[in-house]
Amino acid sequence: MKTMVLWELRQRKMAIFWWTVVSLVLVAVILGIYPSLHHNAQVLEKTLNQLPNGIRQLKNGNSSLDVGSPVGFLNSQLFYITLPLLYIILTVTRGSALVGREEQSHTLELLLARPISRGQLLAGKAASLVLELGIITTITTLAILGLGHLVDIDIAVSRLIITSVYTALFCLSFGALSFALVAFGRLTKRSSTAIAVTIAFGGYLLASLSGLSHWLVNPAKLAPYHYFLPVNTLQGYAVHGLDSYLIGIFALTALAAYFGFRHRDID
Amino acid sequence: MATAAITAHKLTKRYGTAPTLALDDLTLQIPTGEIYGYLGANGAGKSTTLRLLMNFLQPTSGSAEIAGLDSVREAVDVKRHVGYLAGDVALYPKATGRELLDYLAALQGSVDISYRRKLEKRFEADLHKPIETLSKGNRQKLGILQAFMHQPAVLILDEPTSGLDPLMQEVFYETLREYKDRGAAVLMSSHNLAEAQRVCDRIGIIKHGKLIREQSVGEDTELGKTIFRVVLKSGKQAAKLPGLKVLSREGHVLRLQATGSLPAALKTLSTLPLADLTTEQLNLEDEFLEFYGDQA
Repeated sequence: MKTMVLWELRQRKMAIFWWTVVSLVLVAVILGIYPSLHHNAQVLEKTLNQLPNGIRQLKNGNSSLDVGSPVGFLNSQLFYITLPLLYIILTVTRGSALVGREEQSHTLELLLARPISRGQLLAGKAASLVLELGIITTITTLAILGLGHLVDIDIAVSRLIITSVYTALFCLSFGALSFALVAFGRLTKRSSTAIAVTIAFGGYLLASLSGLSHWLVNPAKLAPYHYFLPVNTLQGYAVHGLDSYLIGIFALTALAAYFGFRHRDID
Repeated sequence: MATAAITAHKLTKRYGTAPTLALDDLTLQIPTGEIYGYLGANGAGKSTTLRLLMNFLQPTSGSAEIAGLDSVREAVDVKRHVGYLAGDVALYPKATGRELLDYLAALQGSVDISYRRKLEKRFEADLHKPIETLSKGNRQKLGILQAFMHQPAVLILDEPTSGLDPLMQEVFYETLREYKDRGAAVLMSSHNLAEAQRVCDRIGIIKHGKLIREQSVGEDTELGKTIFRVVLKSGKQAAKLPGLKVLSREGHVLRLQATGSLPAALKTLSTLPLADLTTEQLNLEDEFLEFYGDQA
């Protein structure tokens, strides 16, 4: 498995570099506006809080737009939508490509002609995705810590790290979904990507708009984004709903990928 | 017969709900030390057979064993003993040949590095350029190297000489003979009938998923026997032609095959009103065309 993971990372080194650069640029730009927001926080919050509830929730999953405080700012500007947007695109496209691209280009046969089980192959591929996201998340988190210190975002390091880890895991869940859909073998790389992206961002809209319509409240509970509230971890609260979702989705996708891929025809 | 290294028993494959079988009840035994040529037109079921043996496809029914191991239940162990080359080999385009072989050798385990270097040298493989910049022939060499580098006891090769120049084809045949001498079993599909006739000990012809003919390729077999193409002065001829078999007849032109000794055949020929006489060898192509007719 180690051989496969190292191979994947070596093949992806330039892509990892550029994803990290994009992530760092976004973090730098967003944190760069914090000082001016912080100085005008009261006026800004008053204006923003006059927006309809649904619009406010689109921004941060919370009915109150508190952009002047470190927690409110990091939640609404970074962890609720910007970083997830980036990480979900990364994990979903990678998740579907890990097996899908190799199957499409027939290089999967090169690997399966070796004495490795299909389960080991999936584990190696999945581990490489976790590591790839881990590298980008770690560097991005260090940048948030460093730049946050420069612009006086005063927040406990442990809470920031926990929030980063949860954000990465939440985004990884969509990558796991696209990975499992391809491994299961009934969907192409493109359609599995489309399904995972729809669930991710459709769920985001559903969870955000549930504040506007009463009848959306219950359906919104089916959307993964309903359980993703980085403001809670930034404030040091437990996130049992998110924990349950993550455990459930990772277990389900791992089982589906394993049992689907174990005895299926390779295209 | 030596121990069977590759065995298929009523191996059958149907893709999804397709009305026809891609492989129909294939029963096959390839002993150690034999090179078996697997011939057939496009879509006949050659690659399906090889991919079933490699467990890339799941059989609809039937079973296969490689080196005494079940190809499905013991698929991982099977791969320790098998070298596989896909038809139209796919490799990682951005990697160099060296990186690719290092990677696959690490996954394979038990690759003797000195033997690998020897093979690389023998095939004059270009290992330092990205694979995407290599010619088809050079990519094929890498495909061959990855299949042979762990010195497998069984080789499953799908059109292995495709893209190789004649010199490299000779190097490949020589390597194949070495493996055969060491007791390896080789199953290779080919479109190149001359190649199969030259390299293989036995050939099987597959058509519409069915193995329709198996035949040894040797001097004491039908292959290699002399064919007489005779042009008669008139349509009159003896009703019986002792020592000869009529293969075809078109007007005054007959194709005859000696069934017994050559002198006996010549004696019969001398009684015919000959306008012209030429000889040729029955080869695989004739066999192949006989079974495939216009399709081949």
